[in-house]
Amino acid sequence: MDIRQHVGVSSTMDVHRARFVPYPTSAISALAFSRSSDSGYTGAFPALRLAVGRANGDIEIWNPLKGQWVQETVCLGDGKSVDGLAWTQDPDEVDSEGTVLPGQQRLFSIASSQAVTEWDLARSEPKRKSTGNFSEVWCFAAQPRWKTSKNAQDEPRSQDMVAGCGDGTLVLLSTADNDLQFKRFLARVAGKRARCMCITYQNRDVVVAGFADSMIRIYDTRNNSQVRQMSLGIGLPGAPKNAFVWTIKVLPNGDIVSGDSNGEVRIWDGRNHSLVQRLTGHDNDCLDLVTSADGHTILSGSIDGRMSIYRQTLGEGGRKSWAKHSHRRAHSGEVKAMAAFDSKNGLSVVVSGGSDAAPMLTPLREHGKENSRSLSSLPQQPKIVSARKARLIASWWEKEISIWRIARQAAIDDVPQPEKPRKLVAKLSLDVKQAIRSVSVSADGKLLAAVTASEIKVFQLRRRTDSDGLAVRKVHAPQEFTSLGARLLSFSADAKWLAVVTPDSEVHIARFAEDPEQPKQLRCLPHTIELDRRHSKRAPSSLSEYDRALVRVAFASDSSVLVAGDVSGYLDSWVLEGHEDLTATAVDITKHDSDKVSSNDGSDAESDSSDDDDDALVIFYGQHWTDNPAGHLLPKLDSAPLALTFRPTILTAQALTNGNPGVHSTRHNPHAHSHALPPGEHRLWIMTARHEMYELDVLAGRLSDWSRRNPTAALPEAFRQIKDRVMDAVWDVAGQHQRLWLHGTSWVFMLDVGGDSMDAESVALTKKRKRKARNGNGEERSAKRHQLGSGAGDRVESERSLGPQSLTRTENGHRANIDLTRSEQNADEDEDVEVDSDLPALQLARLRSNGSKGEVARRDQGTEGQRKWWCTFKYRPILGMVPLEDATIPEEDRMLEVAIVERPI
Amino acid sequence: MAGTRHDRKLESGKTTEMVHDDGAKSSSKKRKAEFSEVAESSSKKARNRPASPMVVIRNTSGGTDAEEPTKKRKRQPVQTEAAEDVLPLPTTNSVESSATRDEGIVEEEDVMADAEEEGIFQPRTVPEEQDGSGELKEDVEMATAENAVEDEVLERGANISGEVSHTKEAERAIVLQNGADLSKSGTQQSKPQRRQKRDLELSKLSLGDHEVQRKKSEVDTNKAKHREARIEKGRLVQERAQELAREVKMLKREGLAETAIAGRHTKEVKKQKKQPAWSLSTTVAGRFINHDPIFAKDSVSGDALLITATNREILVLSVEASLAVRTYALRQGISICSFSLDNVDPESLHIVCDNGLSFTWRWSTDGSVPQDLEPRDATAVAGGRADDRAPGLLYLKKTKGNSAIWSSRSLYTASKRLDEIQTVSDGECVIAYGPELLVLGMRKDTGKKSNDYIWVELLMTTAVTCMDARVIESASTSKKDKRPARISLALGKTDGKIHLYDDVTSVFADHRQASLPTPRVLHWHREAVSAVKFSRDGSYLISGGKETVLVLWQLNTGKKQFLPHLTSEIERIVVSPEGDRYAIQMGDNSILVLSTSELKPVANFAGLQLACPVPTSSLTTSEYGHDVQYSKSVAAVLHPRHANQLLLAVPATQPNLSTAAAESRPFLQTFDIRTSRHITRQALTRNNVTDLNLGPERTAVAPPDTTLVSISDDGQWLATVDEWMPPAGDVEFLTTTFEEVVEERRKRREVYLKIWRWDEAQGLWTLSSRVDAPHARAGKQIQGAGIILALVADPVTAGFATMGEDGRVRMWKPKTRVRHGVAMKGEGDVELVEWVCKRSVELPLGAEDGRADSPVDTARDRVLFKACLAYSEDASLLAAALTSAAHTTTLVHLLDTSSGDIKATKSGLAGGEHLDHVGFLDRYFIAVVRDAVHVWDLVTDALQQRMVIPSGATLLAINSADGTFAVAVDSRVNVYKPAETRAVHKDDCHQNIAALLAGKGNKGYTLLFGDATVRTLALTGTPVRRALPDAPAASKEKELTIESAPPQGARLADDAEMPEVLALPAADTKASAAIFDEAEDDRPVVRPEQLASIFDVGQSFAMLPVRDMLEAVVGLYGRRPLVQAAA
Repeated sequence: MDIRQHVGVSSTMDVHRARFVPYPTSAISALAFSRSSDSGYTGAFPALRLAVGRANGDIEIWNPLKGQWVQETVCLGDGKSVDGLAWTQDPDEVDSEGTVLPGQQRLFSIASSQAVTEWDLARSEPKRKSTGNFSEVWCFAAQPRWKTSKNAQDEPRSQDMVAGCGDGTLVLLSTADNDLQFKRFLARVAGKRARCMCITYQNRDVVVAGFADSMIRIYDTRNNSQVRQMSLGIGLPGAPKNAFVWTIKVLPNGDIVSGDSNGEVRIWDGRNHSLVQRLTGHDNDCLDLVTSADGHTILSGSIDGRMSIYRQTLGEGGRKSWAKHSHRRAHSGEVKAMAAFDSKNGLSVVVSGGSDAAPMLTPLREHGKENSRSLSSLPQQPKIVSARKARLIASWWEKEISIWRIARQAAIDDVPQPEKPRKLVAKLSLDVKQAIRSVSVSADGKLLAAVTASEIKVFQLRRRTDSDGLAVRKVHAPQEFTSLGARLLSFSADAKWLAVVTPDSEVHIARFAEDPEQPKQLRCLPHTIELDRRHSKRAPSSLSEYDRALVRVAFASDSSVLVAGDVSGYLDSWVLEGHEDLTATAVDITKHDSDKVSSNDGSDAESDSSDDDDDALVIFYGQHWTDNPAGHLLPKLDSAPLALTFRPTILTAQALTNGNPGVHSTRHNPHAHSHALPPGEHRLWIMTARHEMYELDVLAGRLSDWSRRNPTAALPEAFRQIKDRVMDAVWDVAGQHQRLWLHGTSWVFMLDVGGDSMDAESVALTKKRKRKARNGNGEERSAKRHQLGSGAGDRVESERSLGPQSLTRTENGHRANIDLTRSEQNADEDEDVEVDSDLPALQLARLRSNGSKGEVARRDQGTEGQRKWWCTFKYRPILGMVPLEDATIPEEDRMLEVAIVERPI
Repeated sequence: MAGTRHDRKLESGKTTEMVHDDGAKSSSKKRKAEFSEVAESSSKKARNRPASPMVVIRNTSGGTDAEEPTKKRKRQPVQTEAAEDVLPLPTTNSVESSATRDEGIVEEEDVMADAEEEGIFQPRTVPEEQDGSGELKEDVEMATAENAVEDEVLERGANISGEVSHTKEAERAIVLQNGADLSKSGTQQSKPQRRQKRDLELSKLSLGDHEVQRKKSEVDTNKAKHREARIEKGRLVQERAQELAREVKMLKREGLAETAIAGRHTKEVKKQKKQPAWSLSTTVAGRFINHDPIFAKDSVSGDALLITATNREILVLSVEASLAVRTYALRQGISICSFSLDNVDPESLHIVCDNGLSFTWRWSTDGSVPQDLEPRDATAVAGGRADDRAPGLLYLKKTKGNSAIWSSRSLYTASKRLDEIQTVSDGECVIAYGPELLVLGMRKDTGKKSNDYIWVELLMTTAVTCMDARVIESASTSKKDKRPARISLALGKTDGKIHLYDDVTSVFADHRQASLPTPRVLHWHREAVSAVKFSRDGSYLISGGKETVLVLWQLNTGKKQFLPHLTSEIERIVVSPEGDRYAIQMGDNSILVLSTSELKPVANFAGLQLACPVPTSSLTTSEYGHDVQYSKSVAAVLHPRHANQLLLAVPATQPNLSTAAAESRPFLQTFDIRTSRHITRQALTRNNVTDLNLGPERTAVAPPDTTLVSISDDGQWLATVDEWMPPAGDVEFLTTTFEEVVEERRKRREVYLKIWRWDEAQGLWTLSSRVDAPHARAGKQIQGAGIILALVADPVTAGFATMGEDGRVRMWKPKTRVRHGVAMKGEGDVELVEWVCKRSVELPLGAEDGRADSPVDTARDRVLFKACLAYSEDASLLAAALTSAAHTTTLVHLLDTSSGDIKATKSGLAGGEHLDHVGFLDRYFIAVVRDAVHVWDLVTDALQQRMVIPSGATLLAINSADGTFAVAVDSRVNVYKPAETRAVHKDDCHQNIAALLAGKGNKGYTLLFGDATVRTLALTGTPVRRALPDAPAASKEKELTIESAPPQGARLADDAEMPEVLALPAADTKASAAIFDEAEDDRPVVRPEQLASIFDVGQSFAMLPVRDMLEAVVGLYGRRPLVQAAA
């Protein structure tokens, strides 16, 4: 399945379409938003995240980001299906200075066991479990948040949790004091079928639970009494006698909505618990349902993949009644879980997931007016790495790593004995307890490191002499290093350094060098170092720990600068001081020379070193890592970085052949070391989750000149229309040009970042727009809203819309055309699209991009023959795109060669 | 003949005052001879009044109530004329419409009606004064003679039905005035002139003013000639009258001619002695138009009625009786587009015709006066708000590319085409739609009586196919605000979705606030939704489409209920005002009324299901291969024992597409063409009623097509031929070229000859034998079954003969199954019979056969595309002729049926031309070739006649009973006698004849038309002889001793005014007849139920025509003597 082809950009890239890489996707089994709406909050809104639980136990944290949907982190599970997810928020606290510290948001899950698990989002692993004398938990729910009542002196209380078990037991758990503890049993329902299938709080005191014996029971938690029980009655003919109450929800007005195995959605009066209405929504089991924040809309999902929407309308005689509005097949498999976030003006979306593994976004407020959108089921951090020089590709899942060697094009094209285009050269099955979180291979393919949450393993790969296979040898590393575990890791370009990010988001670095005893073997130097992160003053957040979690790490191409970015967009950077001196001691440990550093640099190391006095300074072959002196100047990004890559620089031959001249150990300074900063510019190209583009000169701590000239607005319109986020970037510096190949799950985009003004026109226009926006703030806002929509897909085109989108009204012979598509909130702003209307160039680009299907390209008239950008959607879904290199071709003739790994459907 | 059929519809000719004024004069001059000079004397009186038959009718029948309209008319003569003009007179019921076949009577009554109208009505007893009718009969004949000369007769010939109403009135008059005298000379006077006037009116209407002028001049030039003829004919008339009188006296002596019916019969008897006259009957049956039927209630009896229309008449159907109560026929050539009940007066029906005129008909009363006759050019009508002054109707007018909504003035001009219009809440809201457009109108100010609407036009993204609106009145009961609180709208779309808007009133809001909510989407239908309706309480939505499933959507719960397997596509759904019934108009030309509670059928109005003729071009190469060109002919046959029963192969749904699936005819419909009633329908082949009807490619699965039907002489055996080929898509993967596709399909063709036995107990045809692939394909060793080109029944014994494309004639005979020498008996002690091929004769090809050296060519050349097969009357000879692609000369082979030998082969018979049909009549062999009919005398072996006919699609029917044969070319039909050169009768039906059938009796010929109408061409006055097999020779009328006729019953049957009393007198009649029988000597015992079967048909309108009733009674009472005579 290796299809080698030239991409149509004047043959500047060779693409191997690799479809052989297996990667299992796992069904979505639970979904939860960290909050369901904007209402009921005073002050700043707590962070909004979506937790996606999968059948293999993974929990993904997505950031809706006003409709841009970024997969931020993945918490790897233990293989047990996540059956339920719930978020709570601790009560707000007021610190000594009187500032309100928002209560921390906590995520809990259940997974077909007796335990309720709390997750440490910052570490991406389970934090604590609560088990008790009850059978496996089938469902659970969090108590509604405490609302300050008139009785102001009431202490804000934490949210309890109620769990429904397979034996009919209802358990109350307390989350108070940042803990998770068994509180008491709420009820025990006897009977063979008394399995609690679903549970929810009607208010803070009343719990509504649905059972497998087609009963809905209501309990008061204050006195442990059963308030009422309602029966669904006998199921439809042919169906099992007992209907399962699959799901139960409560509308804002207290009415109870249940979905059952007959496909019916029933609405029960919240006060007298009488059946208000029965709606046949599905032909099969209705597995989950969600309600809108205003309580006028219900969506339900069924086992056949359909989602039905119900709306409350005025019925006969002005009575309010519910009616099924429409249904749509949203998933190819069943709809297992649904979650809704509904705010009045911003995001209003229903997320559903099922066995097809892809989260589906369905507009809620704008249902019927906006399209649904499917997010990718693939991990957004590519689970594929390559050793470009060795032409190796490695992919991993669970505890296995597979390594393939991709044949050179020349070798394949040779007629006599064509080489197989690819070959599985090694398959590693690691003896680890948890699943592999990440893998990195050095560019020369000699070192491979794999990490789990608790282990770091490094292997040396060598080509076998007798066969094509690889010989794998475990590289010994210090125990204290390997037992750290990691979430991210990266080899430097020269394969000497390995940076790992521990679950706690600490950055550690190990040095690899040839074993002096066995020259062919590589070893890890016995000491590793931890790099300190800067402690920036952060705004209070409801996910304060999580916000510090590092998500991307990158080495500069000369391996002398390391940058890591975290969820909230802060960057940490470190530089390698000094020059490599192989004659020096491999590891030279000294006390921290903070005074000297500060005195030498004379600037601002106090914040860095204030609490690190006890740390020793470790010098490897005359080099040591230290904080980037300009690190504090680096701006905070608007959102988490998704693509973090240094612009390759052509290495100038080092004039100094050996060591660090002028650095001599003295008595006073026994561990003399160079403080020379790496030479040259280290330009870091960043694309954030909002698809904002920056290039930072890391050592100078500012935007590079190129970035100043080419802000995000300079990106072509075609790129800005792409909804899927960028996953990775590959540099193409062959020849004279400097190109960046970006890719998402469904697209590959080439940007020429060598020259300036990739779209000078649009930059100018954008500036104009910005100015204009400043003048008329309302317009800008509405334009943005118009663009973003309610968080799902674009607006439905008129041809596919349900009803007419405009009407002609005639009164007294006067005709008027009325557009029906505008949404209510900006019905008074007639000119909401006017902002864009004066941008001919953008419109042109938009026009072009709409016109062609597969590939979009724009040729700048000024530079003949040089495409500024190029885009294709023909590869999908893309698991990863990794560079390869053919060493046999002279460097100047080399063109970029990549392997695009697609996941066959 | 048709000239005499000239009827009230002719008065629909539009006339002006001028024409009218001198109408009497000119008409008295011009008139056709049949009405002779008698017209003169009364013409003066007639001149003073507009000839308004309807008014007259009221005078005579209703008495006082007619006074007013008469006066009104006098005051506004012009308007009255206009009112007359389109209109076609209401036909009261079908009894009379059938009765009109009885020409003499019709004429007579017609005249009487005229007499009454002139105010010179003189009562008389018909039996006493037979002269009048005799005279009229004469007129009829003469008119027939005239037909050959006068072209314009054709127009009149078509206008039969209008006369019918008068017939009834006249009959009533007869009954009422029984015993009084009739001055016959006076009675007839007004008629000719009025006729002429009507002719003029008609011609004006249809041809335009200049045509009228032309006609006028024509009239003048012909005056002299006509006068002479009149004198001549007048004498003849007198003679005839005397003759008839004598006849009557004689019959009277025999105690027969007591009543009008009897008199009528005697007249017929008499007529037969004389030269019979051919006449074309009124049209029966027809196809329901694509319009929602309307539920109504009989104001008197409270019976549920359904008002609907066929292409030629408006029908008021009784749900209780499943019969038409009243009909109102339009002039031929005009059809109804739309109709709507008046909002205020629910007994008024507003009708819009396709010629642009509209009028109002009071459907509740019989004699109705068309009102509000205006040329509106409208295509649809809906009741608007009732106003004191104006009826407030809303019309849709079509212009080029768009439509306008009109009331008294143009209200709104839409940007695109609109098809239907609906008003809700008394015209407060108007909704009209076309495929691309939905127009909503809301009355602006409810207080004022203005017609100011706010119009909203919505362009539809998917085409709308059907719509229903429902109003939910505002909760506040203030009378002032009639404005609906909410308007729910359901739109059926072509993609099978139903969009349901709970409330569309928001679209009328001001510019800024106007909005349209997202609709509810109800999606079950796979294909376009044909009909959607709200239930009365709004809790259900009822929809139907091509799936033949009625879907009931429970709107509150989202549940769906289904009524599947309705056998035919649903076209229209109507909910009764009480909500207790649904009327479902279906694709098989039927309307089914269901009760809403249990979804059980309450009534079924099934029409004749003759499929629309599909143009031949659509059935060319793709279906049958490029070298075989043959069009589907109607597979129909008349039952030999029940001459009024038509058996025809019908499709499940009227095809509106020419696809194989739509055109195949898997069912057999039995239809009574006399009462225009559907009798049964049964499946002949596999069909898609309960099976999946869509293939995996979503193409419709085609059931086999029944191509040929034949019935044995005794009516016990029915033979059908059905064929089926896989669709081209299923074999395309095997082949590369189109020819190969055709060949592959042929290889897989399935052809079955099925022979069915009549099961009296079940009233069904039960399959007796099935012969798979009875004929091979032309050419040797070619896979697949060959087409059967001809199927004929043995005229004497049970047996059939088929001819296939392999050039063979096979004769099929029943063979009793024998086991151990004992005949096997099946259920009901019926001998088990299997049909076997007794003889198989391969017909030699023509002289060109020598070319067979090239086998490929032979195979292709031998493909027959036309074959003719006919039995001689005594079944001793079988004529077979085949036309193949290679041979231009058609040979006719005469086969001895007993030996199977080819007795003779003649090429001259067919004249060496394209042979279309062959047949035997007595000693003559008739061959219809292109452009000519050849009559060959088999005894002398010489060409007896060669009649030139126009070229066109020909049809041949042979009626051995009266020794005639009929040839139809396109719309014209000629009746010939083999010995005569000239046609006995010529007629033009103005529409292409789809089938020409001859019954076993002497009913003449039955003509089937593409619009599912049926007409009969018969010898008027010919008594019906039931062609009983045991008394075939009892044809002489003298042997047909008429024992008795129930006078009272017959008379009552006549009287359609009193349907409710009908049953009792009929019973009385039976009783009295029985007593009478007993009192007499050896008269046959007629059981009451036998009589009841004739008289007790429920409603008066379902009764047989008087003549047929008499025949039936005579058949009962005259049976035994016949048997005795035979013995």
